[in-house]
Amino acid sequence: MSEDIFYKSVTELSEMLSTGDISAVELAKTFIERKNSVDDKVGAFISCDEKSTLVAAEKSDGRRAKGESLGVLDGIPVGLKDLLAVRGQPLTCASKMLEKYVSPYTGTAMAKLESRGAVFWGRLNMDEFAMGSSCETSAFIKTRNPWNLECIPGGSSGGSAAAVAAGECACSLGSDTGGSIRQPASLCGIVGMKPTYGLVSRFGLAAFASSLDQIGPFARSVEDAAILLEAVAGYDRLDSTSFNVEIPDYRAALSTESLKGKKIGVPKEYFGVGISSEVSGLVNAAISRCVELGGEVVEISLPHTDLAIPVYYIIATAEASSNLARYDGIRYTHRSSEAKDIVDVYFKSRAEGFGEEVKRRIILGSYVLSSGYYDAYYLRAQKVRTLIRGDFEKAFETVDVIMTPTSPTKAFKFGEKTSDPLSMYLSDICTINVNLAGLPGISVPCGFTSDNMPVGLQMIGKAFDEASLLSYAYAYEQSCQWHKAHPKL
Amino acid sequence: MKHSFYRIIPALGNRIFKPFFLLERGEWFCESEWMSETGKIDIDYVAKLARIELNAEEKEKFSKQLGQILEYFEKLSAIDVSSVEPSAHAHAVYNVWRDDVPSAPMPVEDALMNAPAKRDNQISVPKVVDDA
Repeated sequence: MSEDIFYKSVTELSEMLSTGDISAVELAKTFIERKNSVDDKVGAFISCDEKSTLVAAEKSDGRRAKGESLGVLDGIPVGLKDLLAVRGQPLTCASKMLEKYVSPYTGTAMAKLESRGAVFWGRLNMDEFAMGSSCETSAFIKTRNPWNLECIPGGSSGGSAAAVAAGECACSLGSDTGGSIRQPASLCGIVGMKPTYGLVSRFGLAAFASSLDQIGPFARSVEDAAILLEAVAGYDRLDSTSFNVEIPDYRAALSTESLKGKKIGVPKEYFGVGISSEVSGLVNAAISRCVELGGEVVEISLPHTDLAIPVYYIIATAEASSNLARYDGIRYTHRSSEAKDIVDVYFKSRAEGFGEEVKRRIILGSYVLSSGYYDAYYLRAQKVRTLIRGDFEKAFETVDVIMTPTSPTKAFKFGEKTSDPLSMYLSDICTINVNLAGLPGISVPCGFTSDNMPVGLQMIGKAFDEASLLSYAYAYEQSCQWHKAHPKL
Repeated sequence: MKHSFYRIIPALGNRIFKPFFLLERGEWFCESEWMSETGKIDIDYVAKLARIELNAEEKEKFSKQLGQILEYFEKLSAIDVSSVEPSAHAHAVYNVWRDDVPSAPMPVEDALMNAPAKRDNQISVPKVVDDA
């Protein structure tokens, strides 16, 4: 066999489905089998429902038999981060607070996928309420990096990345607040993209930091990511921050020639202290390849880069402290059986339901918003956010795309950063600016370290110009084929 | 300045408008009495704002860690932001109105399907008002 079916791309699988080489039910069974054989090692799945997946696959086969196929995604098994709502499916946010929660409605991005015939397969692990960079804050399971089971898969969407890298689903959706799609994609050797803020509806995404959160795709190729993004993008009246922009055919816009004559901004601040030399070496080599493909390097400066961590951790925790106030023990969450009165219900349910990192961030967020500190922290952070946005605006006056490492290091070992929250926060240093500026960013595999761990190249594009960004990433990917490498499990 | 009048209201809101039986410890006091100097978190006060009960071990651990994080945040104080407007969002966001058209709401059974305790199509909670 030339290649295992479970490592084939969405486009290849779709071709097999349309020629009748495989049925949607057989395909679903392939991924179910793969999950059952490797997930005790990888630990990407919090839960799954084989039956409902097979029922959806059967319906897909029925449509195809009648000549009513819904397109390239019809019959493709897609994994979901366990904070995306699908009616009747559990949604835990990897928290004891929502251990028994079942979604009473389907979120917009997921409804769009369903309308394209995608088959949902698996609820994937994450850091609790998406707060973490290693998947270690999940209340339920440990997800391991498929390339080295001793290492973290990245986070917070670590399960979504590991499942795709390990061939347990064809592609998946995650969410990115400060790098939660791009960083795990980089550490697991796959493609992950955070769209422009407002491109994908957040309705049905459990909120962490509302001004930063975006849903986005994980895939084993740029083309697959383009297909998935096109399916979920678009204006939604149920999300007041959704932007009404036209969604082009991203897949049709992909070109191996796209980098010709383009100016590639390389910000010096992203190659300094804290970036491992192996990572910067591989990323520099990838940028050189982009030059061979016709691009031109322009050295740029994003002078406020080093302020991103404090700005992000003030804004994100402040928004989180407000968003997570909804988990009150009253309406749809865990309620403490120890609570004696109504106020006790809040204090005790939240004490029992939230894990350590979530408590730490809610408390930090409550502090920076509290009377007397609001101006010094939150308001000041919002002002510095304006400066960070300005850095990018200025850069994009002269360049077409910005290239940086996605993660400052390769995947680290379990427990390495859990005792020091600040060192964990610093692992987001290359990705969070992009969220603060609301820009699209994509991580593409760009090689392996000496111990065979994947490294990702981050490309940052102009707002709402995903078509160009995907095309640049495609040109690079097709020239080197790193994405064809898969872990051995 | 009419704005300043309206700004005072929310700041005092809890103490002026909240019925006394809903006040909790702490809310009887001026907030400043519950705070300590910058860079150190009064963990009891903030945990109360966040409505999270912390045990002694968590209090000690969080105070120390959050102190270090706040120290790191001090980086921001060196930046001159006097002429900079704050960004609440990355792109300009405007209020959105929809047409006032009735549509089917979520059925009660669905809305209550995750309620930890319910009765007669309502969520049941411990008694809110004290016997007095």
